[in-house]
Amino acid sequence: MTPLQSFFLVSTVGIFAIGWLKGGHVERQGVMVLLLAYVAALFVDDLDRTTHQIAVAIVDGVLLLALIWMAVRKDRWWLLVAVACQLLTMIAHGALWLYPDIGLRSNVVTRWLFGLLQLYALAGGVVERWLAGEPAASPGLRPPPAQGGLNI
Amino acid sequence: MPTALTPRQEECLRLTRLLTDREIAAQLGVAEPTVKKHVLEACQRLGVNRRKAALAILEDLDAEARSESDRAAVSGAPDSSGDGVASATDARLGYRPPPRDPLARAVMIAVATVVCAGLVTTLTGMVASQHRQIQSIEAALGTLPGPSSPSVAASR
Repeated sequence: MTPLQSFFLVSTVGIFAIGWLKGGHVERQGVMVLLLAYVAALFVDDLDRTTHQIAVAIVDGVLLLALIWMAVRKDRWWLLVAVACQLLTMIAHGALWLYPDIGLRSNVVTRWLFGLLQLYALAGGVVERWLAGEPAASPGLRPPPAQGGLNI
Repeated sequence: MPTALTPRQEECLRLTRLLTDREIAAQLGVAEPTVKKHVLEACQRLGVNRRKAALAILEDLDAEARSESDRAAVSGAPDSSGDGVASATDARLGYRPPPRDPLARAVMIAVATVVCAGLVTTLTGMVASQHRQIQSIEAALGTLPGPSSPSVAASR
């Protein structure tokens, strides 16, 4: 495992855990969407070993659509960055088609870097949730409701 | 009319902009039907039957209040205007959500795309140049005569 792969793996586990536990509902949706995309990409990567990785490109395209939908529907800055990173990933897929002399290895590393940026955008979403003054989605981390006077 | 709303009704209505009824109930520590009741009564008092329309009325009133406070600030009077949406949602450090206009969001995505691309290009450029430097140093060490060359070759 290369240092980049190790860093990506540690970042993925850590940020997904933080996003799930400390993030709001939007961050939880982000974790779910990214996790589904990673699992799907792993699955289709085993099926499709061609040079252009069409199946992975399709999964990335679906992920892009999901992120765009979230960016339009939800009020979060980090989603805009995540969409930008996914857009760049799709451009990297397109570059593999347009410029066949690009090595698959460098293309994959580039996509990993964009994926890493996207992960850290999700981590920024947890900070954004805190800045927005919203409670964490995890019930265990919410402050107890105020006693008296509020139950109208 | 904004004065017709109770503070709790106004608070619930403003929070519907960012949160669901269930989330508002959790944040305020009240039951979800209570939140629905507050929002419904706020809509009725503002004379509309949809919460988005009620929010639009509130935002128009906020904009008027802001412009009045700006005029007062220009004329030297102290700013006594009320809080905006940020304080209503307990926002910290002046946080504001992204604009609701889809076109504005698309422009921001385009800007973020350029910035991310620049960041990754710079990063990979730095790594590649360092890699080249290391390779050139190793090549130089490998061609150097003397006792250090075999040990370098052996350590590889």
